[in-house]
Amino acid sequence: MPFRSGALSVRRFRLEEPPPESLSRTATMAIRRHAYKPIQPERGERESFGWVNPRRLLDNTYTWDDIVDGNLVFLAVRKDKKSFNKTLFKARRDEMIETVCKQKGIERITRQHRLAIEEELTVTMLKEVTPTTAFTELVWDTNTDEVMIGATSRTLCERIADLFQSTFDRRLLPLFPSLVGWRLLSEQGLEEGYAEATEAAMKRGRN
Amino acid sequence: MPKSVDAMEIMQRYGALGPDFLTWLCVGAMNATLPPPPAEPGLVVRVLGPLVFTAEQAEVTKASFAGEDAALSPEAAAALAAGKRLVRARLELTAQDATWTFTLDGETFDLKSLKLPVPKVPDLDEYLALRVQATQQVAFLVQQLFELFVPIRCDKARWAAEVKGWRALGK
Repeated sequence: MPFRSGALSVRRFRLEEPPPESLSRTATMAIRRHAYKPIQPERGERESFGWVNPRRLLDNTYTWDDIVDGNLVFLAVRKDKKSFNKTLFKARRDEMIETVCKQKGIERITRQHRLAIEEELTVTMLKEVTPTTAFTELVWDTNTDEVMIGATSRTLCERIADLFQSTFDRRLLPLFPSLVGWRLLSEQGLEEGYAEATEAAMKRGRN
Repeated sequence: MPKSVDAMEIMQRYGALGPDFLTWLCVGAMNATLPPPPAEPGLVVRVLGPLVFTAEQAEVTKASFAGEDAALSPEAAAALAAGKRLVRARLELTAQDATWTFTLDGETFDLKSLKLPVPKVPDLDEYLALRVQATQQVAFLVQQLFELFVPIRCDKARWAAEVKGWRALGK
């Protein structure tokens, strides 16, 4: 868990708008709505993605107060994923179809029957496998409205930012140099200077 | 950020700022010409390997240099002379007694494999708070350096002189 030990890799964000004043009253329910829940193979689920308490990963009764320490909100996302080998799936499916054909004394089964077998086998195989699990931590400084995600993968960070927005109704903007720079240029009235310097550099052969 | 402004468009239009900054930072650190950040005038920046350069329009679009003194190698100087920009570099920042080592991504400002100057303390919450504080501190120092860079990047004459200096390194 990188925020608490070892080398750390982070991508930084800022809340587009300050959080609502009602945050401390509504946050527990909001987090519970988007909390991690185990995968339910019988519902065809292959993945689960939701909030956990990084201090007590298996506790699903935590409240907002449990994850707040002064101005720091310390959360984690748990992602579970189940998958199975497709070749093995096909082999088992073909075996099941062969058994049905023998039992019924037929050469082929209908398409609908095949789909039903495949669905049943999918649930069975999903139940058999143990999910792969990954945790990603997040720290939200409520004084500065900056959020640090303990990951740098674009897909994962975007997914966590989406989960954050669904939970807290606030968009996270990445603190990329292009976005931070654009804000600085706008504040200091330097957009024209930037464009001129860029154009001049390009004219000289390269930028 | 105003909602009417498209973030994707901004990232495209100002996408060069990050790599330009990282290149400026690393060359400035090697030549000891970096302006001191107001919050930490004694800040020392060291460039460690590995370095990753890119160029949009070139035969070789990406070049990585690893090893001791990669930043001072003739290959790195040649990459600069050819107009390549740094998109990733391992840096060491020292402010007073504290030293941070990390890889800075020029396009995203991601801090990767960040080693923090935080002594181990028994209280986990206190330790976490100290680590977060140290991470914020190094991000703030990078931000301050970026704020020093932006006016230079937007000044036609100063930027031209800067780029000319980079090119001269390869000769």
